[in-house]
Amino acid sequence: MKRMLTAILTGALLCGSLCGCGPQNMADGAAESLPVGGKDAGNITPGGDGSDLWLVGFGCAEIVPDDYDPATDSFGGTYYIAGYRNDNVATGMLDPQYARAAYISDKRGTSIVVAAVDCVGLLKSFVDEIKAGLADIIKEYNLAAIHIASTHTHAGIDTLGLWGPVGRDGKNKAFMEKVKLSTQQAIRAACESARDGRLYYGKADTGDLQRDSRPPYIYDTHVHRFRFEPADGSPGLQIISYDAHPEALRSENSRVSADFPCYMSRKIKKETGDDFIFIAGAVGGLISTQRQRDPSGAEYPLEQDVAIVGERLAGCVLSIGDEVKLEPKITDKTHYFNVNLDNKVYILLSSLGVLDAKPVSGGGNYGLALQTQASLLSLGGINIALVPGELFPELAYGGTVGDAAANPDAKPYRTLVEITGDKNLLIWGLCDDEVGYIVAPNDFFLDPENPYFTQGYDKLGRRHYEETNSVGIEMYYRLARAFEELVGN
Amino acid sequence: MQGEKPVEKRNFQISYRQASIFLVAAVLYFALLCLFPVALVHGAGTAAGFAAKGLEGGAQIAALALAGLAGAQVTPQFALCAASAAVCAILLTARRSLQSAAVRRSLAVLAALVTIAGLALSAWRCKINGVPLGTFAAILSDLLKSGIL
Repeated sequence: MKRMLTAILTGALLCGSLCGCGPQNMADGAAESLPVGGKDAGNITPGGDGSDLWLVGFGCAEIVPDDYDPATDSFGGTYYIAGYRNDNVATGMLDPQYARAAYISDKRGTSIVVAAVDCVGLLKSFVDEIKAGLADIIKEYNLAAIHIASTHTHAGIDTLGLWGPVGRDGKNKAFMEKVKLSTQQAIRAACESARDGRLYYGKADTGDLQRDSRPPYIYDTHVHRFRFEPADGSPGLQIISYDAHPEALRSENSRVSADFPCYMSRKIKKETGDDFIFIAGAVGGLISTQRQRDPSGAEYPLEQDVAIVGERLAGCVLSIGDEVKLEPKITDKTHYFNVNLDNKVYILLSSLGVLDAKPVSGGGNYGLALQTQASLLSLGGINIALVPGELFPELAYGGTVGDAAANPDAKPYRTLVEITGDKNLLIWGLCDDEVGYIVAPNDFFLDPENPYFTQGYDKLGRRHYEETNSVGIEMYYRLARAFEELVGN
Repeated sequence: MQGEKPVEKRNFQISYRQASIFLVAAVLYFALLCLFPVALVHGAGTAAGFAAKGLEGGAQIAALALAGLAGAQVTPQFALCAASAAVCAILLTARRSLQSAAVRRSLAVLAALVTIAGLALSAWRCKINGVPLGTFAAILSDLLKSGIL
């Protein structure tokens, strides 16, 4: 334990120099600026007096296996790269994974934490374990909610278990413990480093940077940013969301990386001094980034491509000009619900201990269900839907495949924008859980012979890969109902 | 009349010995019925792990995957185990209290059948990491039928 703590502390110190997200950036005022609800109000402006000041803190912790040897760029143990193929053993590390967290208080009695972990996904059971170790912080800072998202990097170490040798758990116990402790450490650091400042929201169009592999070709081309500007003039924090899988390193890669968010972070840190949190948006069905090409049209090597993508995105973020200053007001509501588990691969893998999702009694084909959650967060009037997986963007913003729909007789449904009545609704994906793809019911199609085991091809010959990584057709209906509950319909 | 009353009462009274036999039998049966599925699933996982060493290709992959059962969290159906244990314990207690050899034999056979049925039911209804064994077996059977395994 002592060795682990030492490693974490060392990691936290290294964190700042490697990608500029060390807690020391926010620590200048940390000793004096204790949060409201903490031991001492210090120099913080009291809330609830019409002030436009928020109270925001940032924390960061590196998540690198203890047996990684930078000298040889190798690991002592076996770790699997998650996201593409099974048994892809990590051969080195391009850049480290991090857990990052923001403490956000409106100083009117509502405080939350938003954390993002550079990994493929975290199941609710694991997220709950992380939260269980933070009972003291929740009480001390009177936290209304802690949300832990996964950035969904496809170059990180397996945290779900799905990418070991076929049928075997790909997780490494020591690494999972490290993920848990680092995330807790980042959250604690965020709470302890809160400072007064102003919060802004803005967005920028990223042009043709994205790629959608499945119709309808609908996705949000904007990168969205919440920017915290401390009142003391010191560097702040940028919380950025974007609709794209962090998989610029593609399937050939076998080196650990946070993918393009790492390079966004470095550029933003370099240009502004601000810390950074990346949150994946509606990335389902399947949104990724375009492979970058040099002036002659040739593709850049992947390790160069990922840096270019990250820097291009950072450039878009840095170009945001028309920011809106947000009045300090937070509302955060969570709805817990069960969704029938029809995917027999998930059931089988849960039985074998590969997936740590413990199904409960439910309906569906196997009488089983998964417990999950959805949240509706509002930061100064900007509404954010926190969804527990990879949402097809058309389910948020609207649009269908029309006549090409593979399941046109599906029950009708409303989009999240329609449910919330907010056309500017933001989506934060893979929040507090990762149930897989949340597929549009009217285009849900399974292989008739081997549903979930084999990818289906509909009458038009379209491949339906995402369904094999979903809990079932019912997921979106349950999610929509959860948001209906959250908005009070 | 007064002399007959104690005899009638004795017919409906459970002696201390009978109660003890019932309790001990019920506890033992309950433990057996609860532990059986755990031993069965973990044993199957361990056996699959050993078997994998002598296999190749897809069979080895499947065996190694099944070896994961050795570390699975197995949850018996406690209510079912308790009910089965109670029935078995009643039969055993009754058997010990009766004089007729033929009836005792019949009860012994019945108790054995109930025990076997209880073990089978307990195994079938137990949950492996939250998934009923029956569901797990059905999915495995699907895989075998479809040729995926």
